Amino acid sequence: MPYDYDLIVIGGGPAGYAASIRAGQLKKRVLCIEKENLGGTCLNWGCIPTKALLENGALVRKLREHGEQWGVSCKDLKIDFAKIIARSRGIAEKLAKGIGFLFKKYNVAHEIGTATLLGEHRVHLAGKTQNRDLSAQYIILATGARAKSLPGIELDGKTILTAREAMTLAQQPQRLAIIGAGAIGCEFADFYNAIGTKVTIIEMMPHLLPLEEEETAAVLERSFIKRGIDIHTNCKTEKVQKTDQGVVLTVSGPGTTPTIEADMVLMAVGVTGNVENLADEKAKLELIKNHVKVDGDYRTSVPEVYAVGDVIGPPWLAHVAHHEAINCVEKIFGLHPHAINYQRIPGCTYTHPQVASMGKTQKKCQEENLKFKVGKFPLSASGRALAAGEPDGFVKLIFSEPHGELLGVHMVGENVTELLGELVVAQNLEATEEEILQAMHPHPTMSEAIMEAAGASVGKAIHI
Amino acid sequence: MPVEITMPQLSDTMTEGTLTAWRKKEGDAVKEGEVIAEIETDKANMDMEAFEGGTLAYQAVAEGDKAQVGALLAVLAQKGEDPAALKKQFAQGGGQASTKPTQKSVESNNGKTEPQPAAAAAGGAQGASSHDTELGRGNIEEGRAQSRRESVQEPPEHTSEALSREASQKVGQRPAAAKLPSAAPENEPPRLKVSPLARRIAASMDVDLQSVKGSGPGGRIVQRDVMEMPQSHGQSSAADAQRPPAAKAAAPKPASPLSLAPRVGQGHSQVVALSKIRSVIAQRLQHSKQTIPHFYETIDVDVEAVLALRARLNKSMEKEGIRLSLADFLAKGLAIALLSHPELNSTFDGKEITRHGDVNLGMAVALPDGLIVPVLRNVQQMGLREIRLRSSDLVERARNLKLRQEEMSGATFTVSNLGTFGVREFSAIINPPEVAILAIASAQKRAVVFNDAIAARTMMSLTLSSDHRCVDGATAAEFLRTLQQLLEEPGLMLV
Repeated sequence: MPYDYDLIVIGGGPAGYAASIRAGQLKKRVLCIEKENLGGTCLNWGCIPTKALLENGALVRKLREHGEQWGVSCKDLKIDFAKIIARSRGIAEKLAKGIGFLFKKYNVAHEIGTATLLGEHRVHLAGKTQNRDLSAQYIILATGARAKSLPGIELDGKTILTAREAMTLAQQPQRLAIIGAGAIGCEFADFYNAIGTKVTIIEMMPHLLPLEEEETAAVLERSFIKRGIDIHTNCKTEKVQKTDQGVVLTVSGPGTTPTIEADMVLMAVGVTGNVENLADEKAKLELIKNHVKVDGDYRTSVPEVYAVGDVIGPPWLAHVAHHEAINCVEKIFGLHPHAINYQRIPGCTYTHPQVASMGKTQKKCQEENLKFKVGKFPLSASGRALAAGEPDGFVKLIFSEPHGELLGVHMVGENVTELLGELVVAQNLEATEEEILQAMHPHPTMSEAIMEAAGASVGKAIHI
Repeated sequence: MPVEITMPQLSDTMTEGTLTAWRKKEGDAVKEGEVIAEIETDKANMDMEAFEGGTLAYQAVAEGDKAQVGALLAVLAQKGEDPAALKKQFAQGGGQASTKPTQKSVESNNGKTEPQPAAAAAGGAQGASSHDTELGRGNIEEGRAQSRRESVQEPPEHTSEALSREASQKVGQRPAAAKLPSAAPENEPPRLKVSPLARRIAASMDVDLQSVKGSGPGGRIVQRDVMEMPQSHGQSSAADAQRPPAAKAAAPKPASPLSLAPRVGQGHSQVVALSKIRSVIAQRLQHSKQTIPHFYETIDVDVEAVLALRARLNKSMEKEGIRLSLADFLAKGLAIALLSHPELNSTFDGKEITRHGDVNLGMAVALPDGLIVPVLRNVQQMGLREIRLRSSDLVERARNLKLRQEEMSGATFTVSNLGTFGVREFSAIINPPEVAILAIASAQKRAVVFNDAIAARTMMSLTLSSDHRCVDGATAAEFLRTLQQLLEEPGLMLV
């Protein structure tokens, strides 16, 4: 019996839409089912709208911090919070429409609604326009993930928020507590601090951005403290109590006040897979810790059913989801893509200063007893960074000894997220410090710091 | 008069060649001695140099095309001639001597060179005049553009490649170089796509990149390809940086990694076009097996004594960096045994048998696709050290397809060695006009009767394939017996 489609993709986020478009490019009959706007969390509730907010924050910060000194004073700086939020929403909407256009271009069918996996080859669609069972030769689950809370603390969307509410508030909070100092927590701290909210961060681990190199996190921490953000690291949140004024947090940690008051609290403690009602019980879809269990080829426990992106677990990043989706589709349809190297996932945090990294931290290299050398270049020695008024930060590259494999990249500073692409390519092409050093980098740019850091690893940096 | 460049005959057996790459474009100025194209013959890849200078007016074949020996490949315009007009003329088949196979206006730096005297004289004169025009502005510009192009082709980070190329040049001893007073352009090996990291790891692990199959985009050799090479597992240095020490300690001895990935997809089939070398192998070996009445004799050799001697000698030569292999002792023993049994050190043309007083030992070397047999000449004059140095140089260059013609011919006896593959015994096919070939299997511990008791001894099986038209069973057996005695009592090699 012929199937309705070659491929049904459940979820239209970075994993789902990429999978659909790739299959469309391969001339397959594809259906993508998404319950909300196309683009998923990334486009609508994550990466993109928050970057818009952070640009607003950066503009305000620049005027406040540098304005007078640079001869551009702006005494009556006014913040129109509603406009800031509206700009961010507008960008998200525009992008979501763009995906719809791409679906048309690549002949991807699109249904708005929810879908349930019934078993091998079968999906039930509860759609906006139709309610019926569909069949496909292959099915990809890409339903993503959503913010989770701490045990015993209920998210209410009004005073106890997730990122989704925190980026669409009607009114700017005067005091905001943020639990969790990962990328999401730190970015909201940066934005709300910049527009004048009193921000307090509570983090259980010893430093901000616990997954990042300690040294880069320290630069961010100094900047946050300088700008008046209250940071409580090594600090556990015991209780969150709602009051008439907002919330009171009971925390425990060395040298911290036991209670923190705020108008609202943002829970940025991690995410959980969207696996509820994803599959009928009879489908026997195996889960693991609230995520779909897959093997190395993204196969689930159900034959011919695959899963990619946040719904299969960490590192919960849009670019990982995108690559998994492409890889999975190409494998399904008989191409032979190379497996994704999970040791080399780039990661970016768009705070001020920005943090960008890929590969192993120095600590990890030591734990693994690797032989390595480090090349570091401070941005205070970069003409471009000084001209931008942003001398804080550095580029640090870790190369294996004796062969010079690029094991790790750790950068902090103005716009360093835009520098990471070059190093991703260098790593992927297996460039060693020699090639990076000898590649002529344009002057004056921040990218020279990469060349100099590579040089520093072999004692050949010119500007330090 | 325009110079017609034809497909040179680069070996005795060559009837056609493939032009694998043009190194000069139409319109390029060509200096005498410059490489203008690369040619793949039945034996090797070779550079084709222009014997005279001029402007490359017309390329008669495209890259990848085959051409018969003597067929027109290119036309060089001389001073005063219009390249465009020549191109038109030749493209329409208007060449004067395009099929005349005797015209030799090119030479291979590796191959035999037989320029006709007249052409050589003309070449010299033309060379001088083209040098004159080089002082013209246009050519200076061209020269600079050329040098910029070259520096792009050879980025500085590939210094290691450049160095190794220089080294191979020295070993290569180009016979033609003496005839060309001007600095001859470098003889570039075929471009190998290798990541910088893979190149470094290969260098430190002594992995020959030519033998590595690239898995990256476009067949690029990347880190994992080198790491997965059998050689790389035995040697730890490069893997050190990558592997945690625990894994290293636990790693067992060399055994090749087992790659069980299917290489042809299920439900698919793969059609493989015969490479030049493969079709020569097919033709030759079929001819040998169909015309020569082969017979086989196998003998087991106890190599404990040789191994003990080898260990002592290697220790004493450690500082020189020389490590003798079992095969070196075999070559030494063979040279002695063959001279005392010249029936085996013979060639046979079907009419008469020629017995040789020199031992020129052919050594079959495996290539990624096929095999090649470099010849170690006059082994009877060599000590173990010289055998080691010369044979490793030959094998290395054989793998890189860098052998000269004379290094691939003239063997009086051949060995095929599968010792490193764990093979217990095998038989080989005679390489005519030789009359015998020795198949060398692995030295391995076996339970044998030794001094009337069962003992574990390192044994090696040697199988001799002989041509029964000129070698008798007993003759072959006597030869094997001598070889066995020499190897079991290596001191006899000194007597």
